[in-house]
Amino acid sequence: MERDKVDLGAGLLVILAIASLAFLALRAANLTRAGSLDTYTLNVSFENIGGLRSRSPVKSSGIVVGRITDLSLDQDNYEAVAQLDIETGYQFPADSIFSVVSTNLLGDQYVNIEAGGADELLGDGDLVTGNSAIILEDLISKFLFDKAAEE
Amino acid sequence: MLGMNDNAVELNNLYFNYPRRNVRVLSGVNMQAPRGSIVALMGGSGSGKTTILRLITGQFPVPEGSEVIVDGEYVAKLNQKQLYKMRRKLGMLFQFSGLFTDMSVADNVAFPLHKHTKLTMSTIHDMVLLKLHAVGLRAVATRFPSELSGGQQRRVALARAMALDPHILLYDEPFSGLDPVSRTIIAKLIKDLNNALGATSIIITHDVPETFQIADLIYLLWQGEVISSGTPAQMSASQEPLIDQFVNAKADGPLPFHMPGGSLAKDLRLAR
Amino acid sequence: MPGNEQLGKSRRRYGTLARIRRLGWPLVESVYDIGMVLRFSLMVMLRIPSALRSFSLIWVQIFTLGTLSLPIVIVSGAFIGFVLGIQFYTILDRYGQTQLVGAAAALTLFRELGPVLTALLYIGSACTSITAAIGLKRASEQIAAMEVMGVDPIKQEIAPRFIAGLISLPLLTIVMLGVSIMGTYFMAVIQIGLDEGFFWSNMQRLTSFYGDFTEGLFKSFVFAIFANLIALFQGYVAHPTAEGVARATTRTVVFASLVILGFDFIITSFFVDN
Repeated sequence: MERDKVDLGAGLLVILAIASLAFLALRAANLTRAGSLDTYTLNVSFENIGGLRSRSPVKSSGIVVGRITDLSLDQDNYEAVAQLDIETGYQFPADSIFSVVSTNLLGDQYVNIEAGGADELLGDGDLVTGNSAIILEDLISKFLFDKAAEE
Repeated sequence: MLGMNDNAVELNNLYFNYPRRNVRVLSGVNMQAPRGSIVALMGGSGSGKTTILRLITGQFPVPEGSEVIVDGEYVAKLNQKQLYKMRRKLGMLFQFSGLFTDMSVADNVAFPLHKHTKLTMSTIHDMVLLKLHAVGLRAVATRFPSELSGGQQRRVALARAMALDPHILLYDEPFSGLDPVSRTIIAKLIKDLNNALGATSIIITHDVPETFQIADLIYLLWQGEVISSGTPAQMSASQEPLIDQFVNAKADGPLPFHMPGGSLAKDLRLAR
Repeated sequence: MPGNEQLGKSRRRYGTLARIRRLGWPLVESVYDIGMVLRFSLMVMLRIPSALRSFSLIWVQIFTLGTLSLPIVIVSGAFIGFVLGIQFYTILDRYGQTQLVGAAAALTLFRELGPVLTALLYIGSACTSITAAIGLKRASEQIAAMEVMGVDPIKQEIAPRFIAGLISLPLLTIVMLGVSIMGTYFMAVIQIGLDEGFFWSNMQRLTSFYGDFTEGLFKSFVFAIFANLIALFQGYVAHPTAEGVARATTRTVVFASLVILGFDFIITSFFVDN
């Protein structure tokens, strides 16, 4: 009886620690893929993704409709390809505009989808081209060059 | 074995100072415990009795110039491993029993058997019951030490001490803190076990009546020295005031009631 | 570390010589004590291989030291998580950076709070019980009984507790981290209503498993070595009386806490430098 209590208790500690370790490794520190809802995948290529990262939200009119699951560089044309997991409940026309936008000047960036008017809808695995992120440094340098050219 | 003689334990010129304190505990003790005998080391509190036991078991290092010989082996020359091996020949009964509080009575007695023999579980189980039967406590085998009385605890500890059939049994104050009946039971057990095992017993005690009944040889210690030795009969008959005082428990005599020190008047600042 | 009550009690207390001796005595004593600690530690380390063979003794100690500390670790972890959620939300809201609440909490927990707080809780609940158990075994002559029976008490009683402590504290730290991050999540996302995706994605982005987390775990392992050794040593050298055990327990809490905070500083500066 005493023996059983010890086995149960010490076993409990080990199991809890393993569960916690799995949670930390998969959720808190970078080793996971989330996605528990039903989703379909869209691939969007950007010239520049700016500060976008894996697990950043995808929004349409401010509503979160999916998440970025993967970011990679296309070796053929050196464009960034973002893999978006969109919840199956949300469908978008083929001519929708995908762009990288910021929540605020310093904050995190996300992918915004502006729905188009086409009848055809985007399906699983489709590749579309998106508008690149606005890079603050580029804007500033462009502004300065323009100013210099004017003078 | 070299140096083999008829003494199970022999102490020659034993000196001892406690480390880190310049207090002399033993100053030149000589003692022989012949094989098969019951030897009692008697003396008042603080006369260095327990220190002698610790030196016999090798728990304290033997000082230079002193000799402790147990079963023909010089304790000072043993390394850690040999010392542990030598200790298996010893059984010791502790003043506070030293029973393991987190084990049942039976597990306590089984502990040395598990540690030092390769006997099967069922053999050990039977041996434990026999040992407990010998001290009359087979009925409490499954209880825990804390559920027993002081006298019963000491008997269980005795069963554990003799679990490995030791050659030499050491008793640290076996009678202290017990009622008269338990004292008599313990005294009887010591005598019986010594005869049954053919062992040698060394008893550290200050209880005169029980000891005089069972001991073959008595050493009287005072402030780290043996002041007298002999058989109980010799000791009882002795007219020497020191022995008379101790044997008959007189409050004052050659052994002063007051610890040696300055005068009382000086301590009370009545005199300069 | 003073392990003995009778230290420095020399007979002659007065006179010039005694005064000079009193000056040097604490130094001599502390050197003596350091030597004792080192010898004890070495003895424990040397017994580890043979103690590993009797795993049942270790398993029982994992229960006593680890499982019995679980409730306090879980409850504290949850509350620490809640508090971090509120605090970081309040602070980061001033800069419009509330999406970093999860990351900030996780970094703090992984690198500092998790290992240190768990170690301090462990000292309070497990180390005190180690010192008391060993001290009482000494006071009731159980240790002496083992020695006389030819059973090594370090191998039987000390080493299994040490190994179990080395296993238990890191396990408790991992549990604490998991629970406290869930606590932060509960407060920041469910109660305050921050975006769940930003919460997790920033946490993942800014913390790394093989850096922040492993550093915390390394710390917790180092803490385990020292906290357990101190507790065992204090129990082993405790004056074998009720009062002696009580004092030893106090010393365990004081010394172990100080040593752990000190080592936390040392390890942190080492990691930051690299």
